Amino acid sequence: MTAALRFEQVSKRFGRRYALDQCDWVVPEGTCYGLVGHNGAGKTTAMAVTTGLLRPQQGQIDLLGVGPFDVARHGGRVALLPQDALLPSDGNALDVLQFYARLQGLTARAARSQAAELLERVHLADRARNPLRTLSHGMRKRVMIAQCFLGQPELVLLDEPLSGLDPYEVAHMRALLKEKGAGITLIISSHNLHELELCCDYIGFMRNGRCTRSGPLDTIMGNRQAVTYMVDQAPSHEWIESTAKEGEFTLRYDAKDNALICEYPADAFTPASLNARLLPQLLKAGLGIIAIQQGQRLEQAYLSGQDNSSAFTSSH
Amino acid sequence: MKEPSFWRQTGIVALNEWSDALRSRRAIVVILLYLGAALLTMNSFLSVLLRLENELAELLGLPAAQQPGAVVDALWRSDRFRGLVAGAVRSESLVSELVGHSPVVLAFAGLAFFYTPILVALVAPVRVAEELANGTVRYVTVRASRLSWTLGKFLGQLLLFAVALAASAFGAWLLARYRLAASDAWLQAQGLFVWTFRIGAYGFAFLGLLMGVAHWTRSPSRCTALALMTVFGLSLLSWALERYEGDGIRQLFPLVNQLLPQAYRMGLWRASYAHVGPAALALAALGISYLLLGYAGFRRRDL
Repeated sequence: MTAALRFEQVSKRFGRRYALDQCDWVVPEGTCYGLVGHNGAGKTTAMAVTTGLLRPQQGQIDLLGVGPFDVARHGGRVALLPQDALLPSDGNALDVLQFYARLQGLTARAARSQAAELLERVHLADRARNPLRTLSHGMRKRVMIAQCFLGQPELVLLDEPLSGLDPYEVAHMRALLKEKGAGITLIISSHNLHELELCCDYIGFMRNGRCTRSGPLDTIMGNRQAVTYMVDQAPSHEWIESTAKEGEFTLRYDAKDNALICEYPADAFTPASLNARLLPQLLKAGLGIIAIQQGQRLEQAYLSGQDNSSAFTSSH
Repeated sequence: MKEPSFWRQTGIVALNEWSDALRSRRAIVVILLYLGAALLTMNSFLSVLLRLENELAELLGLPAAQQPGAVVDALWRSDRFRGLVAGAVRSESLVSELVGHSPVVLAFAGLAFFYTPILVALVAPVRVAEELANGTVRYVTVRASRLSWTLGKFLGQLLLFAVALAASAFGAWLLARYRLAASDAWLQAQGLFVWTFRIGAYGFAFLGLLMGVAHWTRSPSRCTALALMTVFGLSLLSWALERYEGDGIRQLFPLVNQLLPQAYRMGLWRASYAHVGPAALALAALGISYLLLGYAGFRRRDL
C-alpha cells in the first residue's frame, strides 16, 4: 500500500497542550479518507501540519512520497479547505479562483475557464461576479470547495466541507467530491458521520492527538462480521443475554439509535445464516424490525470506541 | 502544468493586490486620502503666501496684484531675498539649492515628508494583518511561498502608493495653477516631478518598515496602532539621537540614527544627486531590510 500521507510520531503543542501527541497516521494513496474525532481531537491541526501552516515540534511527515510540505515540491499538488479561513471578501468568486489557479501555474485563459467551470459545478455560475461578501455562508463554502479542485491536485484535504450547506447542496457536493476525488486522495474531516459513510472508503479515528484506529470503511463498520437491526423498542437485558448465550455471537443494544448490533465470528455465520437464526427470535420477543443493515453505523463504530454509556452488551 | 517561478508568483500576488484595491474601490479611497492631504495642506500654505503678498503690497503702498503669485515669484528670485535666506541658513550653497525651487514645490515637499509616513501607516500594513487575521493567507501559502506573498503584497502596495503620491503631486500643481496664476507653471511641474521621486524614496523606506512590522501581529487594529507608534516613535528617536550625540557611548548615536529613515530626509532636500542618490539608495535598502526582518518572523510562524 503506497501512502499519500504518513505521520511518524508527529507532535504539535500549543503552550502546554498537545494537539498532536506522537501521532502515527497513514493515509493510503487513492482513497477517500474520512477523519473522525471529537472537538479538539487534533483533526484540524493534523491538516494544518500536513500543509505546512503549522510546524510540528517533532516527528516526520511524508507527503506524496517527497517529504514534508514544501511549496516548491507540493504547490499545486496539494489543496486545502481550511476550516476557519475566510476568502478575500472584496473579490468576486471568479477573480479569486483565477488568482489561485494562476498561482498554481495555469495560464490566464486556462485559469479563467477552469474557474468558470468549477463555479458552474458548485451552482454558482450566476453569482460568479458578485463580491464574496455578498454571498451566503453556504455559497462561500462552495467557492472554498471549488478552489480545492483547481489544476490537478493529487491530495485534497477538506476540513468540514459540508457544514453550513443545505440538504440539496450536501447531496450535490457529495456527488462532486466522489467525481473529483476519483483517482486522487481525498481526506475529509467531518462530524457528520453519515456523510462520511456515503463518501469515504477509508476511515481514521482521532482522539487526544493520536490516530487511534484506522482502516477500510467495511472493516471499521464491521460489514463482514456485524449486522444491525433497527428495532422499535428496547429488548430486555435478559433477552439479550439469553439470546447471545444461545447463539455464538455478541449482542449489543444502542439505545440512542434503537439499534441492536450483532457481531459474529466470520467462520460461524454469514449475514444470511445469522438472519435465519436471529430474526425469528426477534419477532418472537415482540420486537418490531424497522430496518436491517449489514455492519454497524459509522457512528456506532465510533461511539463504541469512545464511550459505551448508551449501550449495553452481552456475549456468549 | 509547470510550477510558476518565484518571481512570477510574486508578480501574480502583486497584481492581485493592486486589482483587489481597484475592485474594492480601496485604491480610490487611498488616492483621495493622499490627494486630500496634499490639497488641504497646500491650500493652507497658499493662503498664507497670498496673505503675505497682499500685506507686502499694502506695506509698499502698491495696488493689489492682478495676478496672484507674481510678487512672490519676483521676491523669490530677488538677490536681496537670497541674501536674507543665506543669512538665515548660513550656507550660500544650500540657499542656491533651496531657492532654485519654486516655493510651491518646497512647500509640497515639506508637507509630504510629514504626512506620507502617516498615510503609509494608515493604509498599507493593515492589508497584511487582515489576511493573517482572517486566514486568507492560507489559501495562498499552499500554492506559493510565503516570501512571494510578502513581496507581492509589498509591490502591490508600492504601486498603490506611487499612484496616490503622483496624484497628490498633480493635485498640488493644479491648485497652485489655480491660486497662483502668475507663477511659472512649467517650473513647478518640473520641480514637483523631481520631488515626487524623493518623497517616493522616503515613503518606500516606511512602506518596507511598516509592512515588516505588520507581519508580527494578527490584529488589524493593533497593527495600525503599532504602525503609527513606529512612525512617531522613530521620529522622536531620530530627533533625540541627533540632539544628544556627543562623547562616549553617545558617539554611537549617529550610527544608530543611520538605521532610521528619518536620518536621510536632509539628504533628500539637497539639489546635488551626490547627496540625493546615496540617501535614496540607503532608504531603499532600509525599506527592503525591514520588510525582510518582518518576513523572517513570519517565515516559520504558525498560520
